Amino acid sequence: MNPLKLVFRPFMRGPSCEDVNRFLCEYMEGTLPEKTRAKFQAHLSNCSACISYFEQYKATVEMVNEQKAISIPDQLVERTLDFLKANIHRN
Amino acid sequence: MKQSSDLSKKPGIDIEALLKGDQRAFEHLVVSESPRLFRVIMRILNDEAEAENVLQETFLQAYLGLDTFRKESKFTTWLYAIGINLARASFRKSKRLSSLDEHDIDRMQPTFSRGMFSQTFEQWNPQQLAEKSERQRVVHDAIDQLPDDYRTVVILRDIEEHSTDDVSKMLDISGGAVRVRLHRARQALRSMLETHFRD
Repeated sequence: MNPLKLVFRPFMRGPSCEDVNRFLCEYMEGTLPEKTRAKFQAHLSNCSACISYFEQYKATVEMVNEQKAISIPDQLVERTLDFLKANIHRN
Repeated sequence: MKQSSDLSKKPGIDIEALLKGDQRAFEHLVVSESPRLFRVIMRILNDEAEAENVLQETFLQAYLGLDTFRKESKFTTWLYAIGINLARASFRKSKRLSSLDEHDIDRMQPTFSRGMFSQTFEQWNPQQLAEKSERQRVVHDAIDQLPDDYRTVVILRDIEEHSTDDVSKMLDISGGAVRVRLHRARQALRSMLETHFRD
């Protein structure tokens, strides 16, 4: 049996909240098989607990994504090249 | 290092020249990859001076180990794997340990009874913390508490936005393992942020 079919077997009849939760990452990534995705979405649009949880999950990912930019120190590349010139020959 | 003359004409990195030990190709790599690689290392270490040391050591190890590159991944993925390993080793040496362990992460996952959520979730209002900088600080502190394995995946996937496939090669774990860690990390973060953003 195709191992993917085994993994997504709960989706044959209709997924539970727990099934949906287990694959939130794949759902957001867009890597769920098409039929599974359709059943997943049908559950998500009709289950208030899953809707609330998914909203919080998405908000978490968005807030993580808006982390402050890291500033690059002046002359970082130049110092790195100088370090390499000095150390490559030594090694 | 060998010299070559035609690299300045190429917009991308010339991997074949690199692998032959070409100095200008390697300099081109340092110029083009330093900023992005520095950001990843800096996010793991939260220490600018140490991040710069690790960046330099990464390029040195890469140059000296060019003959160990197996072409099973992109060259830059291989380079990042070296940098991430060095940064994580340095982080562990600094003894700035994360405050949460695997049991805490387990405890922060949602629970189910007969397949249904066994708790309810109140609506969130992220604007509760009006200042974006304050929100960023709260989220940053939560990420910092994650165990190292989880924190690294969150940094690479959700902040620096590398693909699951690249992250799996950088960390030498399967794509499935990347997704499981990321999912558990996100759920733990959601749980930590809940008190701040509940309406």
